[in-house]
Formats: sequence, C-alpha cells, structure tokens
Amino acid sequence: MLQYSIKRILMAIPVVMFISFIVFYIIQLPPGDYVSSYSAQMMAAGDVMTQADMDQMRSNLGLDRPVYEQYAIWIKKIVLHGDFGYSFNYNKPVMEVVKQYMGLTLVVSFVTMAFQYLVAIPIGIYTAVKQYSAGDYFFSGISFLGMATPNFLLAIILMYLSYTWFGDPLLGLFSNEYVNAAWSMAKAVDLMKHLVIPVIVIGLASTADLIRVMRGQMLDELNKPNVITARAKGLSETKILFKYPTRAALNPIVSTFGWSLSSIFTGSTITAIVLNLPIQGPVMYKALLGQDMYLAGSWLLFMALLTVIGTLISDILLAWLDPKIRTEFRGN
Amino acid sequence: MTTQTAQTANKGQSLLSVQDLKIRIQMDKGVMHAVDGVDFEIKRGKTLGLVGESGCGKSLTSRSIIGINPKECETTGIIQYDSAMDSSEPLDLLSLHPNSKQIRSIRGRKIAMIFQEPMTAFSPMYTIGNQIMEAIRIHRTKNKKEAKKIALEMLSKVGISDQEKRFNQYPHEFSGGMRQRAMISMALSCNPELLIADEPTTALDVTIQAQVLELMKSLQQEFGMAILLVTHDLGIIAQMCDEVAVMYLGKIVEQAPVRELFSNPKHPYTKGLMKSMPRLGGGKGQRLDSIEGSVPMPIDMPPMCGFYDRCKDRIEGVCNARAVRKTQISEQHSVKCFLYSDERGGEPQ
Repeated sequence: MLQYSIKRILMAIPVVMFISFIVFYIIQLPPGDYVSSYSAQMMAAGDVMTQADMDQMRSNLGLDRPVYEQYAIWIKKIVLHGDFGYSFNYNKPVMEVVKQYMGLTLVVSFVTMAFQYLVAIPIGIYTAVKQYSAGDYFFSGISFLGMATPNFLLAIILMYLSYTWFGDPLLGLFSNEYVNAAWSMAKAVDLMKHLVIPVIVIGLASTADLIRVMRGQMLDELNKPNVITARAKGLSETKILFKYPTRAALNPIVSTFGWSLSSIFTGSTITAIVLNLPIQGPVMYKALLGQDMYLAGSWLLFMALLTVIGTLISDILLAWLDPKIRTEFRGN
Repeated sequence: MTTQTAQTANKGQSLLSVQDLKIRIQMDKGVMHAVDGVDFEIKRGKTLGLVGESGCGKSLTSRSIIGINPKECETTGIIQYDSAMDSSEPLDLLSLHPNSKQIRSIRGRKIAMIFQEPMTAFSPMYTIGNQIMEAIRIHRTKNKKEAKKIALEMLSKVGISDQEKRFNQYPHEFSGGMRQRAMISMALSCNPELLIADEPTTALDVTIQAQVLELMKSLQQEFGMAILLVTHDLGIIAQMCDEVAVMYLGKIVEQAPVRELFSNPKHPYTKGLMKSMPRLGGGKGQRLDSIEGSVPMPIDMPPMCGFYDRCKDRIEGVCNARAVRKTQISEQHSVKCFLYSDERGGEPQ
C-alpha cells in the first residue's frame, strides 16, 4: 500500500511538469501579450505608448525572450525560490495575490464539497430504498431541476428570495462591517450565513448528479445475491443496508472524489462573479482577459496539481476501500 | 446435537410441511402465478429434492420458507414448521412478518440456506471470515474470539486447509469450489436443522460438484439436518435425495420416493425428463430425447394442465378444459395428470 502510494506520487511528478509546460504554452497562444493589452488600456485612457516604450517594457518584464526561455526561467524560480513570478495586474508577486484569495477559496470549496456528499449520499440511499415512492419522485424531480438550472440563474433567484425574505441579498462572503474586521465569533457566524447561497448554487448541480449516481448504484447493489445471503443469515434490514449495499455503492462515489475538488474550483467562477465572492474564480478570469500570464499560469498550474493530487487521493482511497484492487497491488 | 435428537423423539416425523403455497407476482401484463398450490413435506434428517426447469418456481418456493422473496411476491398458504431445537409449538412461518425478530431468529439459526453463485452470494467487500462470523455472532455467541474459533472449526469441517489464512482472505481469492465450501460452512455454522440448498453446484464444474455433494452428504449425517435440495439436475437428485418433487409451471406434478420415481415415473413431464438424461450403455451415437416446446408464462392461464401444449399423451377436451387434481398412485407416490385421474377414468394404453 505504502509502496503503491510512493510509486504513484513519483509518477505524478513528470505529469505535473508536462502539464506546466502546456499551461505556459497555451497562455502564450493568444495574439498579443500583457504589454499590448496594457497599451490598449492606456490608449483607452487617452495616453499613448510609443513602440520604444512598449519594447522597453517588454524587455523589463522578460517578454521579449523566446517562449521556452521564459518557461525555463519561470519554472526555475518556482522550484528554487518558490517564486511564481509577478502579477502585472496587481503589481504584486503572484504568491501574494494567491495567498490573499486562497483561504476563502478553500473554505468555500471544502464547505461545498462537504455539502455535496453529506446531502447526496443519504438522499441517494433513501431514494433507492424507497424506489418509486412519493419521496423518491420528489427528490428525483429536485435533482433533475438542479442539474438543469444554470448556476447564475439560481444565484440570482436565491439572492432575490433572500432579499425579499430577509431584506439582504447576502452578496459577497461578509457583511460590510466585517469585511476588514479581525476574525471573531460574530465574523465567523456572518461568513456562515453568507456561505449558504454560494454553497447551494455551486454545489447543487453536482449534488443532483451524485444523488442520481448513488441511487443507481444502490439499486444495483440492493438486488445483489449477497443481500439475500445476508438476509438468510438473519441480519436485520438496517444492518444489511449499511453493511452491504451502501458500502459497495460508495466505491464509485469515492472514485470521483478527486476531480470534484478541482471542478468546484473552476465551476464556481461565474457564480463568484454573480455573487461577488472574493475567491479565485474572478481573479483568474481577469488574469486571463488581461494576459496577466504569470498569475494565470500559476493558477492553471495549481488547478492541474489539484487534479493530479485529487486523482491520487481517489485512487489511494479506492485501494483502501476495495479489497479487489488492494490484492492487485499486493500481487505486483 | 444430543439434545436435538432427544427432543426429536417427542416430536412428529415432519419438520416442515408446506400446504397450498401460492406466490403471485403483479406484472404489467397481469398477475403471474409463479407458484400455484404447492404441497410438500420435509422429514427430519431427510433430503427432499425439488426438481424442475428454470422459471418453474422452485427457487421462489424454497425462499418463501424463510420469507426472503422480494416484496413484489404475494405469498399465501401455510408453511408449518415444527422445530425440535427447542420445545416450541409448531409455527406457521408465513404468518410471521418477513422483517420480524422471530423469523430472523430462525433464519441462519434453525433454517440456513446456500445459494447457486458463491461468487455473488458473498460480498466482495468483506473477508470470508467476517461473513461467516456474522451468523455465529447473531445466533450463537457475542464473543468475537469464540465466534472466530467456531468459524475456523467450520472451515476445517468443510475441508478448507490453512484456515487462519483463508479466514482473512476475500471471496475473490477463493476458487469456485472453495467458495461454495465456505458458503456451506457459513450455512452450517449454527447447526441448522434444515438446510435449503438452491442449486448448490450449478456454478461448479463436474469434479468439484461431486466433491461438494459428497461433503453435503457427510455433513448431513454428522449434523443430522434435513435438506431441501433445489436443482434442475436429475443426476444430483438420484445421488442425494430420499424423496423427490417434480415441479412444472408453479405446480408439483409428481412426488415420490427417489427409487420409485426413477423406476416408475408417471407424469409425461417426468418421463420426458428421464428420457432426456444421458445414461450408460445407451448406445453410441444415439440422440437424447428432448421435451418439445417451451414453458408458457403463467399469466392469465385458463384452468388446464400447464404441460398440455408440450405433452405427447394429451387428451383434447380433458387436459385443456379443467384443472388437474392430485392422484395418489400409491401411499407415497402422487401425480397431477388426467391420465391417472378418476375424473377421466381408466389407465392410459
């Protein structure tokens, strides 16, 4: 098991290297660079940059060198100094921008993830056990609606409802008086309140999806002969339900665990813009628009890393959960 | 075991008697009479074979005894169970709620079951040991160590060597035969007085099949239990059973002691089954007989013999006009066929 984990981690390194190069290359692909988009902005503001100014700026930022050289310098700094480069937009090192948004991004993501699994798994089990009951139809209806409703629309509806019922659309993650306040109990409670809408909006589609997957898995498992065997042994229905079908149905759910984290990160961008959340989605969006290449590149690299780590975690979890896979490791 | 035999003396011969068992399943096309008025009796320590082709209702019949059929099955009739393991009064198992404590204390303890597919009948998620110990810990001892000791003993009884290692292995690490042995050890771990074996060797190859049957037989002698053996294989019936009930389309069409049935089959269906069996000295290159046609669906059947369409000896206007009743050929031999019925009169030529 440990050996397998180490092997998998070592295998992940070249994957991440390769992804980082592709990421960097893709960011370079669109015509123009930060300097040209900067000069366009200046132009719009009524200022004029000469060609010489632009060349000067390019060489200052190192943008006049070939792509592979820029990439090499970028990677070298990351590996040796943990320096991800400089964000032109924010006029700060990338790491500082990342740090500023990372905390809340992680909070929103993990709460959303917890929401998805904690809601979807019990409902999935319930709808399978009570197949074709009124409750099943109710939750199935809700989950189809959830899958079909666009995030931004749901965000707007919930904001509207919150405004008409509580007099506050709950925009952002904090009320005005807490935005710059130090952390306190009251601020945490305020954050919780503001998390409700984003978590529902970001998580609903995946939750609905998970409910369907869990329900289908459970229906499969409930009809397996091992359930009849368990019944013939004299076990109670509750014990059977949790020990056999539920346990087996969790495996495919766990195997998607890894990707769900990165999909929450990327999937929340539009919601974050609509709800004005101070998390990474909008920052990333601006960085891509403004060709703020090191910031965008670092975020993309980070996402890729998350996916790789997530898959790794999923695989290890699955190996831990599924005896068949475990035996295969031991065999190798 | 000794107490079991002592108490048996005070009880009648009959361990389980099934009377007019009917199982109906509501389908889109109508009500399916999957099991339609089945009667049989299992005697203490004896083996009853329930033979028939796929879909004749034999599995449903056997599972209804311990109430583990799917909830779509509407079951009526009486399943009188007279346990000798305690001094309890005879009990109608069908009157118990399938989820009740009472029936659960019988399942696995007094009446155990083994299934056709040992691969899917075990959960792939838990070790064999875990799954064997489960029944022991419900019915015999709460103590984990003691339960493990019993489980290891049972594994050695069914001929599994290196039990300590096997105990901690998962079903996929067992071969098919070993898995069925483990399944038998699980079923017998609580010394049941009735073992229901639903096609126990169908998924195994022939040599392993013989071993498993031998094992069942010797364990039956050791434990003194009765067996209800459900199978489609007449060879297994001949080898294992004391009595046989032949099932066709939800009904028992013929019932007799095993020698009597093989030497003197009465029902055209039983005769057909016998003819379709290969036998030694049957002549080289000779083709086996088969029963023509296929089994109809028992949905909205008019009152007639279910075998009518496939029967070589059918009597038009009789067999397809009325429901057949049981005719007693001798004290222990009964058949459901108009050829032997007074309602038609006379023996067939």
